[in-house]
Amino acid sequence: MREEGYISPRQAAVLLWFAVLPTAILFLPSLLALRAHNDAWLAVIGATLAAGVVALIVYLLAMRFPHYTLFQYCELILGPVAGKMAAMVFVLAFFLLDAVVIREFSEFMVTAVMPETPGLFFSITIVAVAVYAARNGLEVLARCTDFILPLMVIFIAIVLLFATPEMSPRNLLPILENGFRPVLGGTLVAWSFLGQVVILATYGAFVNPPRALKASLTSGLLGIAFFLTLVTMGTIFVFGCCESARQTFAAYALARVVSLGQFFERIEALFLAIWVGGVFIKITLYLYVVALGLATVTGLKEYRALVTSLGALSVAVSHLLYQNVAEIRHDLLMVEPGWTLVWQLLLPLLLLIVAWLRGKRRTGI
Amino acid sequence: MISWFRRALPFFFLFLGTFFLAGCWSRHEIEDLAIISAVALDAAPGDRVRLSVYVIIPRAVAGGPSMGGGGGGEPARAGEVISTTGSDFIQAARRLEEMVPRRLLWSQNRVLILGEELAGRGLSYLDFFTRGRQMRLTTPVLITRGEGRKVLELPPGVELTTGTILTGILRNRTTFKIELKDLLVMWEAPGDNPVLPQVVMTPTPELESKEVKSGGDTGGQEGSQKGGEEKKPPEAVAIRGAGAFRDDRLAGWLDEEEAKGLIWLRGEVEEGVITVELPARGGDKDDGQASVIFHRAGTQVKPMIEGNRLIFNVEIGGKCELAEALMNLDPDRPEDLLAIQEAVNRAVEERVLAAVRKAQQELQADIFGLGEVLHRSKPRYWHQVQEHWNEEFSRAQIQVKINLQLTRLGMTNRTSGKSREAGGKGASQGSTR
Repeated sequence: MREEGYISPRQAAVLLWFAVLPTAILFLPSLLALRAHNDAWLAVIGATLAAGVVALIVYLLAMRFPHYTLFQYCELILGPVAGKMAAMVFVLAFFLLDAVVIREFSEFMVTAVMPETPGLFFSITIVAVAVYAARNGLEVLARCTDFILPLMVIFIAIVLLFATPEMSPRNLLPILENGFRPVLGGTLVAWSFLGQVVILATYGAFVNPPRALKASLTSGLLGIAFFLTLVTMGTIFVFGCCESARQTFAAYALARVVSLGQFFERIEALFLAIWVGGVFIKITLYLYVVALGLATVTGLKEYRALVTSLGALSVAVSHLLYQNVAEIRHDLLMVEPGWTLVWQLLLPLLLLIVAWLRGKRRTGI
Repeated sequence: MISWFRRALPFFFLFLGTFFLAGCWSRHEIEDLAIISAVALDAAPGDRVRLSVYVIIPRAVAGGPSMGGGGGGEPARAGEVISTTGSDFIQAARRLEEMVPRRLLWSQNRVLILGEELAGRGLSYLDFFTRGRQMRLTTPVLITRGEGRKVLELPPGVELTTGTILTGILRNRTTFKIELKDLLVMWEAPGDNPVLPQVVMTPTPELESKEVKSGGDTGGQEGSQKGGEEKKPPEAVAIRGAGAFRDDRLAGWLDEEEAKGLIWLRGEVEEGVITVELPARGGDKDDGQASVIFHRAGTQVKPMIEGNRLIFNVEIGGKCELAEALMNLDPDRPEDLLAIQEAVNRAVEERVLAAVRKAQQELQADIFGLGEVLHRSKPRYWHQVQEHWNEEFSRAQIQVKINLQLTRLGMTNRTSGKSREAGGKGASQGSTR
C-alpha cells in the first residue's frame, strides 16, 4: 500500500538519525566500554563502516525499486509466497525492536528518575502519544523532528562542552592495547544499533526524489556516527573505561557530572526531557513502519487501523521481553548482534542478490 | 452513534489527562524532606557499619545568620547529626528513617567522610553511594583519622554546616580534591591506588613546619580562611595531609609535606604557596625567607626502561610569582632572584621525594598513578608487570627534575625600609642610576 505524501531527503536523514541515536546514546557507551575498553570509539567507527554496507544495499535496492517500500519489493523480488514471508520477518523484527525500545525507555525512567512509578505507566503514555503521531503519517512525524532535533543536538553539545573540565583525554591511551579482538567485539555490539539504518528501506520510498536517498543515507549515518563517537569518547574521557562500563546509563551519568561554577549543574532533568522527545520519535517511527509493513503484507488499503492495536501489543510484548535491565544488557551484548546481523544485513543482501540475478527492477513510474 | 462517540473521545482523553498532569504522583514536598548535607561512614563493632548523617534543620537555616545572630551567643546549629548502625549502609539508612520524621534526601549531600577503621576494611562499602539514584558521583570524599562522625559533630563556623565548610575549603585549592568518581577510577585502574585528602580536627591550627601559608596580596583567601578557623572554639576542621590506600585498603597516612609532594607528582597542583629560607650569603646579604605563589604547574612523567630497571623521569615545570619577601631583596640583581628560584625548586623536589620515599618504602603502593602512565606509553612492558605492579613500583627509580621559574615579582620590586646598600652599592654600579 502507498501513503500519500512525500518527505524531503533532509527529513529522511534526520529521521534516520532519530531511528538510531536516542537509545544508542544511552545504552551503547557503557556496553562498548565493557567490550572494547579504551577503544570503544574505534568500535563505533567500525560499526559505522559495517552499517555503510547496509546503507549501500538499501540504496541499490531503492534504485531498483524507486517509490516502493521494503515490504513491497520483497514480494516483487521473491514472488508472492516467499516475498510475504520475508516481509513478515521484517515486520516482526521491526516490531520486536520497537518493543525493546519501549522497554529500554521505561526501564531507564524507572531506574534513574521515578522508582515509585510503575514502568508500565511510562510505556503506555509514550505509546499512546506515539500511536497518535503514527496515525498522522510520516510527514507529520518528519515535521516533529524539526522541533526536537535542534534541542537534542544543542543539549548533547552542552553536556559535552561543560563536562570538559572533568575530562582527561589521556584515558584514551593506549590505543589498541589488546589488538583488534576487543574492538571487533565492541563493533558487533555497536552494529546492532547502527544497523538499524536499514529502516530507511521502508520509509525511504516516500523520499522525493529517490536518487537523493544517497545523500540522506550518508548524512544520516555520518551524523549518527559523529554523535555516538563524541558521547562514547566523552564518557571514556570522564570516567575511564572501567567506570564507564560500570555505569549502566553512562551518558546520563555524564550529564550528572556537569557542574559549571556551582550554579549550572544538575542538568540531567533537562537531558531527560529532551531525550524523551528523541525516544518518542524513535518509537513512533518504528510503530509507523510496523503498521505500514503489516498493512502491505496483509493487503490492507490503510495502515491507520492497525496502529492502535499494534501499539497496545508492543507495550505488552515489551513487558514480557525482559525481567530487568540486566537482561536488556545481556540481550544487547549477546543476542542482538547475531539477530540483527541476520535481518539487517543478510536478508537485505539476499534480496539484492536475488533481484540482481532475476533482473528485477521497477523503474519509471 | 459513531459520530457521537468520536466527538466525546477527545474530551474523555482530556479528562484522563488531568489525573496525570497535576503532577501529584509520588511527590515529595520540601517540608517532608530531611536534607542530608554531609555523610560520615564508620566501622562499628562486629563487622557492622555506622552511618552518620548531618541533617539540616530547616527552621535553623530558614532563620538565617542574621536572625540567629540576635542572641549574640553561640550560633545555633543548623543541623543535627544522627547516626545508626547496620550490617550495611542501606540497612543503616533504613534505621535512620525509623528515627527521622521525614524522608531522607541524599542528593544534596556535600561530602562523604570515611572513617579510618572502615577505610581499613575496604572501599567496597561505597557501593550504596554509587548505586543509589539520588547519589552523585561528584560528591567529594575525605578521610579522617578516628571516627568520621566526630567531624560532623563539630560546632559550626563561618558556614552553617560541616558539609559547606569542607567543600568551601576544598574550593580554596590548598590541597587536592577527590570526587567519588575519581576515587572509583583510581581504585579500578590497575596501575593506580586511591588517595584521599585527610580532614583533621585542630584545636590550634598553627604548624611548626616551615611552610606557613602566607597571606600575601594574592594568597589572602587562604590566610583569611585560616584566620577564621583559629578563632573558632574549641575545635575546627582543616584539610591537610592524605590517606593512602593499597588496592582498596587504607595503608597509611601522608603528612602535609608528603601530601603536597603527592599532588605535585600526580600533576594536580593548581595553585599554592611555597616558602623557602635563604641562608646568609655573605656581604650585606642576611638570611631571610621568601614565598612564591604559583597558579599553574605542569607535571610530565616519562617512563624509561634501562635493562631491568624501570625509571620514571618526572619533570615539573611552571611559573611562579614572588608573594612575600622577608629578606634584603634587590631584583635589579638577578642572582637574588635566582637564589630564590633555586631554593623553591629544591623545596618542591624535597616534597616530591618525601612522598616517593613514603610510597615506595613504607606503603609499597603506587599512589601516584605511575602505573597508568606506564600503561599508556608502554603497554607491552606494562603487561609483564601488571600483576605485581605495587612491588614493581617500589623497586622503580623515580628521578625528579623541577624547573619552576620565578617570572613575576608582584607590584613592587625592592623590599621596603631604609636600604643599606642603596647609597654604596647602587652608586658603585653606576649604570643603573
